[in-house]
Amino acid sequence: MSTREDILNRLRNSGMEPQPKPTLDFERLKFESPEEAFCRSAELSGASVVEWHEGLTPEQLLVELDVEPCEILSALPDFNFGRNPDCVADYHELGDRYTAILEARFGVAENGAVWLPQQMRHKAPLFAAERLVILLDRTAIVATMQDAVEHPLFERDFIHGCFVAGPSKTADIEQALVIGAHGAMGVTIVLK
Amino acid sequence: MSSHSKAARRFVANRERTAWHDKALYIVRSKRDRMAQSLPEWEQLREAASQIKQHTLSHLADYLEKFERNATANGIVVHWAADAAELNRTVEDIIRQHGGNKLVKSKSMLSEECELTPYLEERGIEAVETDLGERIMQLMHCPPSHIVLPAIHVKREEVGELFERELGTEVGNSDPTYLTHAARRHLRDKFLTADISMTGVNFAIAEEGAFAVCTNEGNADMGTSFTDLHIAIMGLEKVIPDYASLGVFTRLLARSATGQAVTTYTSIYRRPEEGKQIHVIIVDNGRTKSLHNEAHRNMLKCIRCGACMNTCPVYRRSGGYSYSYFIPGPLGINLGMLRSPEQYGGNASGCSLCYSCSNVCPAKVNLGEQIYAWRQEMDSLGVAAKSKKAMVKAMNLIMRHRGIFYAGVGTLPYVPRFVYNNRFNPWCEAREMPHFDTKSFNTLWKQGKIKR
Ligand code: SF4
Repeated sequence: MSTREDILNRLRNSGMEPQPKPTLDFERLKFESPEEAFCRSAELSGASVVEWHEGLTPEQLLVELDVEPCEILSALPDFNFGRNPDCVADYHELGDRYTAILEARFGVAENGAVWLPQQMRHKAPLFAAERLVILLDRTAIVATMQDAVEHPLFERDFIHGCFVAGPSKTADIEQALVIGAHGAMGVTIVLK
Repeated sequence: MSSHSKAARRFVANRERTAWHDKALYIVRSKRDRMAQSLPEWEQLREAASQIKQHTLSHLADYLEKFERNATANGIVVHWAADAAELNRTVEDIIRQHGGNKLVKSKSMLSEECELTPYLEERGIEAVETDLGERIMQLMHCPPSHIVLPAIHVKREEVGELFERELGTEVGNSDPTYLTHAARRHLRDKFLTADISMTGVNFAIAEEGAFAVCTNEGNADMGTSFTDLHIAIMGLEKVIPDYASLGVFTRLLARSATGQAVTTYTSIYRRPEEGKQIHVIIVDNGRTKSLHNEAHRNMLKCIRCGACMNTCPVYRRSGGYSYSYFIPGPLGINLGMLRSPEQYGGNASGCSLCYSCSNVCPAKVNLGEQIYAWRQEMDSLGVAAKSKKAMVKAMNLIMRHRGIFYAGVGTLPYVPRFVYNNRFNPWCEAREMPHFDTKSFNTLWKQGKIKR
């Protein structure tokens, strides 16, 4: 018998009574202002949150964010100043000293995470970028992770997707929090 | 004396360090408490997590098949391994077929369990741990002492000296930020030149044929981003039904583990990128046997958050290396007993039966109750300590016979203290025997000296 069959058989003969699947219909955390709650949580996760004021052009926004256009890596039409990662065949060539600009589908108020399904040919820039600038529609904020996975924009067909909450971090040396372990050293959320 | 107390003796010899270790973990535990208390539905979430796991375990074969079917349809290659040897062989085969010998690893307790890293290194495949804590331990040539905080027992000065030697950092600089960033540069280099990446799996989602990997550092993601071959290894209990379940578990995991609202990265792998491969290996290695064990199958509900260790008064004060199984604390005591009572029975005494672990566990694993149950089973398993057995027999005799009991109670206060308060009594290792009053409770009661 193959390992697979063997394992499955043993599992089927475990003698465990079938247990029902829970309905998960308990009441979930809600926020009066999901936007405010999101900003609070995002800042706790180490991200900074800024607003994209009306009338501001993408160029002006970049000046406010202190990002040099030539440092940008983005596939978003509005930020077509620097390199387009989709035009690079080997992601090793991208290097790692750049700011990646991406657009999140929605944010999660309880923990400040944003949902980023893979939008580029390679997912590498999402993790290798020195800094992430993430655009977020302020009306697209859900309360909890349970709401997140039910959101219509939590699409089913992606290659890779990631909930990102703030910059990469670690506390592995004496529990001292250090920002910038392996991923982004800084994350800026831009509310539209 | 049990193997745990003997090993703990080394750890507690350094009082300052013991206190420091205890405090560091208590801070993590307090953060968890704050998170749990700030969420009104916390207890319902725990109950839901527990029920989802119970449900899944009782249909495990179906869910694993479903996961396999959907993952295969997504272009992921699924393998099965009966034990550690088969896992290690399978990993090696996949690597040989693909080519390359530089592997970057993110944290996986399963790889420790199967001793995968030494297996690969012996065969000329460099396996670099990329989680900072794991990397520190790898460079120190020591195992992790905690499942979530691998280097919790190591002081910053020790990391400084280690990095001085291994990475050429400044002499005497033990600033955590400086050292972390030095490790970042060192490991960046490894990521960019690696051929293969390996990750664990936090949750395999049957309905979607996808799996989630949760980290704070982003090391798993860096690894999988810069290599063409991604091998993910999972214990077969890691499967969950659907995204709704993932919603529940991601609300509990980081809050329980480190007191964060969520891990920085919750990465969901669903399909390989163009030109790349993802392989998932589903591993049994004793888990089906545990499922057959009615009294202890609950252990398979564990999501490896580490909360039971952080809260455990014995773990905090005795450190991870006092346990003979590679996973310490209440979780390790139980998993060790499931693995081999003969080999790991000595850990079962490392528990004060306070049941705090059972109360914090996000999946409601009844760890404390199970340790108690194991202790009842020790004798029939033939691993009970001889001295304890003799003591229980003697106690039994005394307690059952009024005469002997009262004679004992009456004489004990007049027996010179050194007879029982000495180094041959293991109880007296770090504490004093109590002073016995000449009047027993019974006498005082009869004399009306005890007020209600
Ligand atoms: S037994 Fe419970 S508390 Fe302990 S690591 Fe597993 S899930 Fe966490």
